[in-house]
Formats: sequence, structure tokens, C-alpha cells
Amino acid sequence: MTSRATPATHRLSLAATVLRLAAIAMVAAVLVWSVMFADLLHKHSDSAAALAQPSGQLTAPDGGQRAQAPAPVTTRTS
Amino acid sequence: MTVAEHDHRFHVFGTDVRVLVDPAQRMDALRVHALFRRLHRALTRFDAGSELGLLNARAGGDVVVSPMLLRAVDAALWAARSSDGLVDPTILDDLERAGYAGSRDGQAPAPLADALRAAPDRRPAAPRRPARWMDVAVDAAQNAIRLPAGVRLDLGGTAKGLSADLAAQLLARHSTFVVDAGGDMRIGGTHPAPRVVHIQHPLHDQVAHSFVVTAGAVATSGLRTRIWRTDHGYSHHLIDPGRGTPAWTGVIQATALAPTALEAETLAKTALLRGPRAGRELLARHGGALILDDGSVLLAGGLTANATRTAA
Repeated sequence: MTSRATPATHRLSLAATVLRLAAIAMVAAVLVWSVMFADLLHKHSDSAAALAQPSGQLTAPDGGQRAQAPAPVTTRTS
Repeated sequence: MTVAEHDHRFHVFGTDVRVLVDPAQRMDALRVHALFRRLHRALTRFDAGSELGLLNARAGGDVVVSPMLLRAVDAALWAARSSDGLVDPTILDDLERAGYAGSRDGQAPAPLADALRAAPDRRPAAPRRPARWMDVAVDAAQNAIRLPAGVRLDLGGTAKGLSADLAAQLLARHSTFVVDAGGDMRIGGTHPAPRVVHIQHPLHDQVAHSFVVTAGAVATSGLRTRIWRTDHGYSHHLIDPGRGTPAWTGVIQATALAPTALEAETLAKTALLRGPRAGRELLARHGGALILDDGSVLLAGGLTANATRTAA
């Protein structure tokens, strides 16, 4: 016994395929964009790090950190 | 919880400059860097092609200058007036005779302790009479400066202090910032937090004293870094204008607090040149510290350990 798809079934299958392809394309685009964005962020942070390093943290005598303590600075003969 | 700051460092004016800024506005550290480069190119005396070099070469006539040089010369003359002539921008000939004709950047200084043992009797510095800086004419309306014939300027420390002040203007909208131009620093911001400032001892590299500043300026002037051997002993860059020779006053380093870095730099240099007693009196208003030949530390004004200071 054989079965044949009706024209309506053909149209449904074609539409589903198109939808699947569109979804795959969108996911791929999002993935590619994410990779590029992550790479951009990484490069930016590298160049920023080359220009500026985080300053030191002020440590209390007991080894703990004081709240909201900016880094100490040193004045000297120049 | 600690305050995160971005720390940008560079070398200009023959010294190390450090800028601490809000991480969200880190690009402003680069703007400060560019500002210092422009100021250095215009104000260095070691480049005959700098704007200052060209002005010095044309003493005796009116010279139209940039607003930057006009402001720097104006600042140097203000320092001369407020120090009664001790911080004198016209002592370049004496400075060169003492052996400071070219940049000493990168050259190791002579040992300060050895120089102190060989130094002549200590005495306060005096202003030069007649004062040549009084004859420097600044015409702000025409952007013109006239130096007396035969007079050349060295803007030295006042240019560095002014630069820190101009950088502070650029960073005024930051919540907190520090500009440290080789010990001349501005500390501030819209929400500045109390910050520990260490004074480095010139004889043994340890901390001589620490205090806390919330906003304002701190500057240090001393003999340690620009000091060298000569055929007759030792010389350094802080000239006694009255005698035209390096000053040996009994003070080897002075630190001053003030509202601006230009004022702090002028106070510190003046205090060193005046000697221990008069120098301490001078620093009493805003606070400061002197380090004497024997390494002892004299505190002045309200500068006490763990005290929170607002220099402004």
C-alpha cells in the first residue's frame, strides 16, 4: 500500500522547512555576532589595560580592607 | 569594599606623572597625558625650538606667544611675587653655571648624604637684588611677553604645578581623581574620599610621614633627585637667587599643602630656601613638613598623623 502526500501537506512541509532554515540562519547570525562582540570586548579591554592598570587597594593594619579607601599616593622630590 | 581607580602613568617634564581616575572615564587620563605633552613641548628650556626657547632667544623685544606660555610665565611671576623673589624664574644663568645646562633625566643623582657632608655652611637663601623678574612684561591683551635684554626664563617647578592644576580642571567632573606630577599633586573630585598621602624620606627611601587629604594640593621640593658632583664638590638645582649658587639652608626637602599645586609648589620651594625656622612658619597656614639635613622631620600647621586635611 502506498500513500501520497496531498498538495496541502506539501505546502505545510515546505513552510516548515523554510521556517527551520530561517531559525537556523538567525541562530547562526546571533552566534557569529556574539563571537565578534566578545572578541571586540576582549581587544578593547586589552588596549585599555595597556593604558591603565587598576590601582592598589588600601589594606588596614589588621589585613582587612577599609571601606571605600582610595589608593594611597606618595609625594617625593622630583 | 575598595574604590576602583584606573592608574595611568607616563614620563614628562623629566619626571614621572601618575593619573588616577574614575574607571568609567578612563579616556580622560589620556587627555591629561596629551595635555602634559603639549605643555612640555611648549615650556621646556632644554629644547631651543620650544616656545620658551624661542622666547628666551628673543629677549629684549616683544614676542607674541601662545595663551599656554603666557599663562605659564604669569604663573612663574606670581610665584616670584608671592615668595618675595625666592622662587625666581630668571636664575637660568646661575643654574647653568652650577652645571644644570642640559636635562638630567635618566642620570643617577649623587648621594645626598655625601653632598651634605661636603656642603658649605648652612644659611637661608635671599632674593636677588635688583630683581630681574620684576622687569618681565606680560601683556595679556596682546598675548605678548617682553623679557629684559639678557634675561632668560626657567619655568621649572611652577610649570609642573600649573600643569597639575590644568589637569585637575580637566578632571573636575570625576567623582574622584589624583594628578601626581612628580610629587606635585592635585587630589579632588565631585565626591572625593579621604586619601592617604605618604611623604618619601630623601635619605633612606622610607615613609617620613603620612597624612590624609580629601581635596587640594600637595607638593614636595628637595635636593635629592637633581644633585650632582662638580670639580669643587656638589651642586643641585635649587638656586639661592641672592648668591647665584645652590642653596644649602639646612632643609633638604619641604612638603606643602595648599589649595592649588602652583601654590603648594611655590610654598614648598620657598620654605626650603628660607631654612628650618622661617620655612616652618611659612608652612603653618596650610600645613606641611620639612626634612632637615640630619634627617629629622619638622611638621608645620595642622599636619599631624591621621588627621584628615582639606587643603583648599
